[in-house]
Amino acid sequence: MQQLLANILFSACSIFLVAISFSVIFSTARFFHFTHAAIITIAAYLGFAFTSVLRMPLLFSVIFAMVVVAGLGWCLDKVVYRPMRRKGSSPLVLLLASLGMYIVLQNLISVFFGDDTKLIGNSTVTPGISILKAKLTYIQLVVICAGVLVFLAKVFLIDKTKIGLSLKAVADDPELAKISGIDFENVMGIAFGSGSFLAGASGLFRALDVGMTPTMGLPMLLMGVVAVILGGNGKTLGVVIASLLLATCQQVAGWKLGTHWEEAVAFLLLLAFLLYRPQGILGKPIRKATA
Amino acid sequence: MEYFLHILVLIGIYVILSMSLNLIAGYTGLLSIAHAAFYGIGAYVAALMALKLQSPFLINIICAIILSGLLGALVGIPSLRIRDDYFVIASFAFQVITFSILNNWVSFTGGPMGLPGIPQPIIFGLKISSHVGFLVLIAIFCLLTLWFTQRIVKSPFGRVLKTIREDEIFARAAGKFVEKYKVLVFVIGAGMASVAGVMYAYYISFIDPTSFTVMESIFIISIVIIGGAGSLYGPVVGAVVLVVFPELLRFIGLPSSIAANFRQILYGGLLVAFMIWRPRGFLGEYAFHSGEAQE
Repeated sequence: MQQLLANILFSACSIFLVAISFSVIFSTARFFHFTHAAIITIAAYLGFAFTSVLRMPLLFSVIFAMVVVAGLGWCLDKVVYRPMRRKGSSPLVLLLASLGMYIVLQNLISVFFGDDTKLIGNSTVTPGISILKAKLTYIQLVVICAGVLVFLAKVFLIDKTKIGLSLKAVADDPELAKISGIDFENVMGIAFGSGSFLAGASGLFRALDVGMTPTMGLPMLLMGVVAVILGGNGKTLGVVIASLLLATCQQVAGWKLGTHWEEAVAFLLLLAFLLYRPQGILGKPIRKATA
Repeated sequence: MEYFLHILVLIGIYVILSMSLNLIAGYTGLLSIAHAAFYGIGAYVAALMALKLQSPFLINIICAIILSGLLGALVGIPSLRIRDDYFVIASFAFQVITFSILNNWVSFTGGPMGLPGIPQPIIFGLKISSHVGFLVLIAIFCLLTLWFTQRIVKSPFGRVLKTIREDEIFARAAGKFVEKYKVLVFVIGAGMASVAGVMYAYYISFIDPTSFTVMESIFIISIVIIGGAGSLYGPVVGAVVLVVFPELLRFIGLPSSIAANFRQILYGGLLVAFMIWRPRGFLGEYAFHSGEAQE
């Protein structure tokens, strides 16, 4: 039982990290930026490249990888999405373009690094720590701490600062934000950059926990997307609750039915919410009202 | 020669898949990433019936169409409540759930091990066993699909579908029962896609869930988009381009281990390029613009 709770906590924090990284971009840019999955994966492989090939120290590699993908995310916005925004591409078109880019990037990773599972550093199998009769590995504990830290940072630092408010303003009403003098493009770039930075963390944590494969990003992103939709657009607390709900359902289903059903359970939950409570747990009703 | 015939059969299968998705996404504007689920259900129903009940080809196809159509209705119903890009996510969910069932219900579907040994179809006493035989069969189904699609598109039903795509509120104001059209088009599209699945099952004589994943769905929608959404022959162009182009890579001498990756890079790249510069694809009329007024 305690192990189940520990697993739920870890799973919820993993999902939360991905979800919040996606949410920053999604609420500001208002489309499903699927390339995010590639950002997650690229960060992990950069970590691998820095530590194993260039022999840089672990902490430095991790942070550097996160910074690089933050820049990559920012570039993606400026080079691909901004021209499309100028043209008036609909969210659907942007979604499809981001999906195409994900496919290209994921396959490039496969070509350059191969499809086998890679590890960062020389992770020898170390016994986990026991806390209150549950076992967790070091990295899992790090993830839980990171989750809590990111949540606190977001709620107390980001959301209340000028930058955070600009992000919210653009998320709420881009036109009005522009009119009130907010530098829209700059805010967009920051959204993509910081979202990608956090995504990088998620990818690296996962790689440190169980290793990396070129396709690892998509399932992670999908769980994040589910949590964001469940949580209600843009609300940090909603994402937290949703992550916990999702993790609980998944872990319990995994325990009772077998872990291979976890994905299906997550998506069933998503469908249920999309149909019966599209605004999510804490959200206001979605802007796109059906006729 | 066999290789060439094989490519043609594949093109045939993808023509059927993309024409059926074109009805849903191109003509009605309901972008869905669930199509591989219908494809898969068609394949699995036919395979299971052929293997466990030894029932004839025609019965299997009819059952596949019916069951797939039912799944289509199931997917179509959420489209009534969820819009555009959120619906894409919902269709994604259906696709993943279907794949999960196919992959995990090992006792019934064989799970990841798949279903081997699907017998060759016997139609009116003729056994189809050669590449040529399958090609003829697939060509017949392609032509049927083309004819059927054309009848739908040029009919009043088809016109309402296009109206729903362009301006749903107007369609409702004109008194059209939009819900019925949306669900029906999903049923029809799903049924048609299942035919491709049945063909695939018999042709390869072995199926497993990996042929019916999200990536397959994305491939099919890419064909529709690149070929041209909302045009009658667009899917044909798309299928030819996206099946043939990557096969040409074989002749450049790429090692087979990364050929599959390059195939995906190619169609992923084409998808991005078209979305940026020509969302309506080669021949299409629909560019996935939002139904709301543009800012």
